Amino acid sequence: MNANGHHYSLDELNALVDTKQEAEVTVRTDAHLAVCDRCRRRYVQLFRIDRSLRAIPLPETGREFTQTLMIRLSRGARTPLAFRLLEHGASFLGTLVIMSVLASAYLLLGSPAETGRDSAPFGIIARGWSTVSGGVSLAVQWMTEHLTALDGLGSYGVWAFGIGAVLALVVADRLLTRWFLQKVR
Amino acid sequence: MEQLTDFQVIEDIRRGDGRRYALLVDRYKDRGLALAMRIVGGKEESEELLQDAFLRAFQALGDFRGDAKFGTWFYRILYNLCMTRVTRRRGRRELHDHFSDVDTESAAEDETPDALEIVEDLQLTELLAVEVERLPEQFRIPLTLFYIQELRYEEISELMGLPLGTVKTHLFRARAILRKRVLTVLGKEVDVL
Repeated sequence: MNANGHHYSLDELNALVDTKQEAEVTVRTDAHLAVCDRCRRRYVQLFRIDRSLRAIPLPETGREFTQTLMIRLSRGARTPLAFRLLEHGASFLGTLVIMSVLASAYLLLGSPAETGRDSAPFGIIARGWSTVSGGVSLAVQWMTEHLTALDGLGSYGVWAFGIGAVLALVVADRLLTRWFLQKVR
Repeated sequence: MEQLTDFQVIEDIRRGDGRRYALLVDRYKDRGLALAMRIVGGKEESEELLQDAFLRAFQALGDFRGDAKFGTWFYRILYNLCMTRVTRRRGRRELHDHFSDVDTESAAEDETPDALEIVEDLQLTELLAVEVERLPEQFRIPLTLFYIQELRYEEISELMGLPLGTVKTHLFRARAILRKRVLTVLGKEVDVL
């Protein structure tokens, strides 16, 4: 009988099945279970269910599971040179294509000031290009005024373009390589 | 030959012997598959998630400090992957909703008081294996973590992000539901006989 002097609830009996009780509680519960058919029957039922749940067989993975996994792991740790060349080559080509399209658009369409064409879609591309080149010009101007230590290193515009191009290539390479790997693996 | 502990295997891997990881995979793959299948369902999809979990665990071994057992740490990775998959699949549906008031104190036991006492162990296990799959998710997952992964209440609570009391309640409720269903099924069988 529980502390309230009633039959045990299923939750209380469940707790008895799961946990080792203190000696005093065990004596009390055993005494009740010895004389109460209802609680004893429920307790035995839950105990059997508990034991049977532990005996449910586990599913088995496929025979090749571990081997496949280890191959995947070794590929990740030691990517073959050919594969690395392929993935970086693909992303490099992708970057070149994107840059070529942008350069072609600029060369074909010119800037809005030069062509007077500012209607969509050509105008949008030309204006976007103009904005970017304007930003670069501003950055170069700022560098010319403030970074006097760079005097004598050549045209700031060339340096800025070079650094920007390398950064763009690195970022594009990472993004495209990730995309490529997701597609391949 | 004395079996290496998980921690010894991990130390070997950290020293550069990555092939040792196969030992850990073999130790945890079947229990991991059981957990994944209980959460996402299909075996093929579960194996795929299990592979991903092992890969992520390997990549994160540097972060494993040994505060918890490797199994507990690994099962957390697997559990999170599986839950992300099922959440994406069905949208964000609340787990703890309409099953909170499941009636477990039914009259079934009074109709067939001896059914659970006379049934063979093997038959009961087979019956339970089926019935566990039919449990609502919020009961099925902690039950699996308790019986298959052999985690303690506290570990389940931490892994699932649920209060300790809730974990206990769900476990007790799960067993009570199983008891009721088993009694119902066995009761029907007894009636047929």
